[in-house]
Amino acid sequence: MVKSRTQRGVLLLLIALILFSLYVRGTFRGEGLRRALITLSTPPQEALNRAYKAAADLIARYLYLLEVAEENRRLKEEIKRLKLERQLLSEKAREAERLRKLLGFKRSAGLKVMPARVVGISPQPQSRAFYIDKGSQDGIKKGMAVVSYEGVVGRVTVVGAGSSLVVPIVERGAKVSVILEDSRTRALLEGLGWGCRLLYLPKEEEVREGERVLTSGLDGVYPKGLTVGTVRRVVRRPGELFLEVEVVPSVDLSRLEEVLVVLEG
Amino acid sequence: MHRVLFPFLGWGYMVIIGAFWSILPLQVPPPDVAMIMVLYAATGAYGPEEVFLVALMGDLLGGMPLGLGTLGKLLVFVLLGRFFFLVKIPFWGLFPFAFSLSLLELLIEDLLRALSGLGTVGMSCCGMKIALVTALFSYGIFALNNAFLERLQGSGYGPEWK
Repeated sequence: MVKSRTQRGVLLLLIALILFSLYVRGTFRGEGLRRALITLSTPPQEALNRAYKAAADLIARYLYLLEVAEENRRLKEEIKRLKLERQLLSEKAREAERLRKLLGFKRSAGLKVMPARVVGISPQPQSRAFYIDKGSQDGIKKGMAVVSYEGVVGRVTVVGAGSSLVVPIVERGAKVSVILEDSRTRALLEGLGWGCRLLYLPKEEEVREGERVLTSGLDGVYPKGLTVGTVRRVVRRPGELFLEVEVVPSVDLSRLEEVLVVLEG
Repeated sequence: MHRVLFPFLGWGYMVIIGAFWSILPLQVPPPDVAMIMVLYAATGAYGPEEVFLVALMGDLLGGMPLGLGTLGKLLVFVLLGRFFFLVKIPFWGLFPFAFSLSLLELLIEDLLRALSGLGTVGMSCCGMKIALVTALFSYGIFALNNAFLERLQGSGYGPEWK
């Protein structure tokens, strides 16, 4: 039993190795399978999202009712109701502010965009990818850029019927063609999983910490001039040909709730 | 029956954890559910086919390079299967067991990335955090698996704390 289990394991290891080799060569990326799985997985995630929000609302109301004392009941109820209303309104105001910024960004950037909500994240902790609630039915196509009012988020890599997978710029191996705002130096930005760095910047280049990094538009994915991040650290190592430049992305992925998919740059 | 249910259960955990991690304002990475399922399978009466399916689902759903996580997880499964087949792991032992093997799997993936030119050498700073969260979540997922799946006598996670 053990031996045959090991043998079958080794055989499947070989199959996995073949799949990985095909992926690296670009021959087979399993996009049909990805599309099918994402189409299957996002409806329950959206339902969980809605259920969580409804439950949180219900609990908030229940707690609110429990806290009402008998004495001065009406008055206290009124005060608490107003407080709750204020909280709900401030949440609505925050949401409206985010949406206003998104709309403002949409107008100022002059892009044709589609708003989408983040409904889930990648189950692989090594990946920073996430799901949005728009898919091919909404006109989303593979390779489209995803932005927020803070800057560039990433790009669509898999499109399901009603949802899509977005790989952010911080994903390991993700690349964006960028330009430094002040020095106008072009570079290639690479995701490291936890942040980004600039590749192939000659040591002679003048790069200062705090300088903004913008999209150059040369990669044909991201429209030109969008904020990508800011330079956090510049290291010049003796004997090295290139600078070591660390970049902090302008978008905080952990707080992302709404994004814009660029339909036409 | 339990072997058929195993990949579906893995998929379910991935979907649920993926959804909740996007709702809750958590600053830590999510657990590697596929890895926990691999550890459960390796110590129980599950074959490499179930592990292959769960790991492949993780790659497909996670936007990872196809086969990368599958290779790493299957490798851990094959190695574990040699020494831990039907071994009971005590309650206290699950944390170091899951933590060290999760870290090993991340290292294998990093090595494969570096060798294939898909990434740079050196594990990201999140590696320890991922292993830690995975180890903590392994208690919950092992217990849920024990509840949902039929277990063979003497296999897998110890019934002494169940």
